[in-house]
Amino acid sequence: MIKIKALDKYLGGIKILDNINIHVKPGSIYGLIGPNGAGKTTLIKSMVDIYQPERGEVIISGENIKDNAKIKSRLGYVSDYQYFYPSFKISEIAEFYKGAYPHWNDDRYVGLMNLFKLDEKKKIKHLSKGMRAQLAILLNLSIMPEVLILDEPTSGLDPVVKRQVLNLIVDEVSSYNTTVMISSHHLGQLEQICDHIGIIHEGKIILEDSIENLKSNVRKIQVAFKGELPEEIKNNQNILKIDSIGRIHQMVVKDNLEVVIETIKKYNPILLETIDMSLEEIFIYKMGGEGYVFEDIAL
Amino acid sequence: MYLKILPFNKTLLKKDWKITKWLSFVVAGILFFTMTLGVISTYNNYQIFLKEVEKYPERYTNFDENEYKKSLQQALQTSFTRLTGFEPNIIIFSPMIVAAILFGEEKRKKTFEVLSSMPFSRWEIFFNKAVIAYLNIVLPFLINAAIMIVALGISKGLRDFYSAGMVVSWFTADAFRLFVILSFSLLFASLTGTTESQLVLTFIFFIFPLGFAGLVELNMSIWGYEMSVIHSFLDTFGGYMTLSVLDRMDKIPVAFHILSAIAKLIASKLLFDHNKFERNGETLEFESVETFFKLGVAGCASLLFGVIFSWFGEGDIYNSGSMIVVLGYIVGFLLGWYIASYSIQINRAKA
Repeated sequence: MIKIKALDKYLGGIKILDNINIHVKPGSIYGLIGPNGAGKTTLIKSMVDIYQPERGEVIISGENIKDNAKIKSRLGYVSDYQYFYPSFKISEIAEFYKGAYPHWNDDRYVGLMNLFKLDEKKKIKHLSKGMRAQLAILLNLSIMPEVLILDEPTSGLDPVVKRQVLNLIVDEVSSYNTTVMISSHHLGQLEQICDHIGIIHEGKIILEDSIENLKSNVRKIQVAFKGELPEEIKNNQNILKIDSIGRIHQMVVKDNLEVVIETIKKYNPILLETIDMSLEEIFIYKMGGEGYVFEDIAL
Repeated sequence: MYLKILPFNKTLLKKDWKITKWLSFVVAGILFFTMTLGVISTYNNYQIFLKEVEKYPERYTNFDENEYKKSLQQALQTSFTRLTGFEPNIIIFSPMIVAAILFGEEKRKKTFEVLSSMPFSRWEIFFNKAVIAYLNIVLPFLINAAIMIVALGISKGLRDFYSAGMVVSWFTADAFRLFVILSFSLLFASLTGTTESQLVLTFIFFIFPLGFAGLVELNMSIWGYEMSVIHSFLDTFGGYMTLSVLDRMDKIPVAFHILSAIAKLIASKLLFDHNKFERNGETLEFESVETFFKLGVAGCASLLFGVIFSWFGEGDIYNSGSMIVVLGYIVGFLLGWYIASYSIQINRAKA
C-alpha cells in the first residue's frame, strides 16, 4: 500500500533522509520511531507531498504521490503541529474538508464531534493544542482515508483522549482496512497497536521488522548465582549485554535463547527467568548499538 | 471533469475569499468615502451652493452659474480620468496586500503545508488564489462604480455632471491597473517566503526603476557628469515600467502592459511550482537568488551611502574629495551586504 523507494532528502544542504526504503502492507499499522532529529517528520512530510525528495519516490496505492490529487483524496495526514486557518470556526474548516475530499462522511464527522465533545461554533484560534489535535484526527478520519499518516498524533492529549484516539486508529484499521503509519515517542503506545516498527536514526532506517519478530529475536534473561557470574556466560557470543546489580544479572540475548539457557543451567542458577523486552527497551538497546547516548533519547 | 482547461475549485475559492474578504470591504469603504460619496453628492452640493448664492447674492457678485457648473464637471472629469486623492494608494497597495495574505501569510502560518497534502494540485492552488486576489481588489471598484451608476438613475440632476460611460471607463482603467500591479505582486509572492519579505520586496522593486535611476543620477552629479542619459532613458522607456500604469491611460502602452502582466503571471505560476515548502518562512524561496539579492541590496546601499557621504563635503566630488565618496561606497556596500545576509540568515529554516 505504501512503498518508499530509495528516498533522499536534503534540508539546508544537509542530508536529512538517506536512502529510505519502507514497505507498509495494506490494513496494517506501521510505527515509526526514532530519537529527536532523526528525520521522522521530514520523512512523513516527504510522504504526503509537502517536501519534494531529491531522490526516490513515494508510491501509495500503486501511484506516485507527487502532485497526485486522486491519491491524496484518500490520504489522511495529521501533522505534529496542527496548522489550520485560525479565523475559521470548526464548522467552516469541516466544510472546507468536505469540499476537498470526495469521500467525506457526515455521519462519521458528527459521531466523532460528539465523542470529542468539540463545539462547532468555536474558532480554531480559541482551541487548545489538545483540541486542535482532536480536530485534526476527526477531520482526517471523516475523509474516509485508505491511508492515514500521523505524526505524533497524541502529543498534547490527556490520557483519556489519548486512549480514545489510539482505539479509534485500531478501529479504523479493523473496520475499514485502512493502512496507517504513525510516528511517536510513546513507544508503549506504539507497541500496543502496531504490526510493524521502523527505527530511524540519522536519516537511515536502522531496523524494520514486525513487533512479533522483534520481540522473539531479542529477549531478556534475569539470572542469579550463588557465586560470581561464570566466565563461560560472560563470554557467550549470543549474550549482547549484561547489567549486574549485586548477584542479579540481566542479559539481553539475541537468537539462540535455548542454547544460552542450557549454558546457564549448567551452573545451577538460583534464579532464572525469561522476560519479554518492551519496545522501549529494544529501541534503547538498538540505539545504544548505534552509538547513541541513552540520556539524550527523549521517550 | 478532467477536460476543464482552467481549474476553478469552489472549495479553494471559498476558503481564499474567506481569508481576504475583509480587505475588499475595507477598500470598498475607503473608496466610497474618499471618492464615490463626493461624486454622487455633486448635484446636491451644487444645489445647496446655488441656494446659498440666491440667499446671499451680495457675497457672490461675480458668480456665473455656467462657469461654476463647468468647473464641477471638469473636476469630476479629472477624477474619472486621472488617479486622484486616495485612489493611487489603493491601486498600489491593495494588490500587494491581498497577494501577501494569500501567499506570504499561508507560508508564514504553514497552512500551505496542509493544502499541499490535500487533494489539490499546485496549479489549482495558484490559479484559485490568483482569481480571488483579482476579484478581491476589483470588487471595491465594481461596487463603487455600481453605486455611481445607480445614483445616476435615481438623480436626474447628476446626469449633467457625469455619465455611466465615464464611470465604466474609470472602472475599466483601474481594473487594468490592478491587474498589472497584481501580476507584479504575484511574481514576488512566488519568489519570497514570508509576508514581510514579500511586501517589502514587492514595494521596493515597484519603485525601483525610479529610485535606482534617481540614485544613479545623484551619483553621476557628484562626479560631475551630465544626467541627460538617464532622463532620455526614462523618457523613452519609463512608460514600459510597471509603475507607469499610475500615469494617464493615453500615455502608456496598454497592450504591452497586458502582455507583460500575463507573462508575469505565467512566470509566477512556474516559480510557484518550484517553491519548496521547507523554505516557507525564509526571506527568499530560491537559494540560487540569494547572492543576487545580497549584491542588489549592497549595490543600492553603496550608491546611497556614496551620496550621503558626499554631504559631509559640499555635495560634489571637488569639495568633499573623492576618498570620502569612495569610503561611502565601501561602507554602503558592506552594510547592505550585511543587512541582506542577516535578513536571510535570521529567517533560515531549521532542519
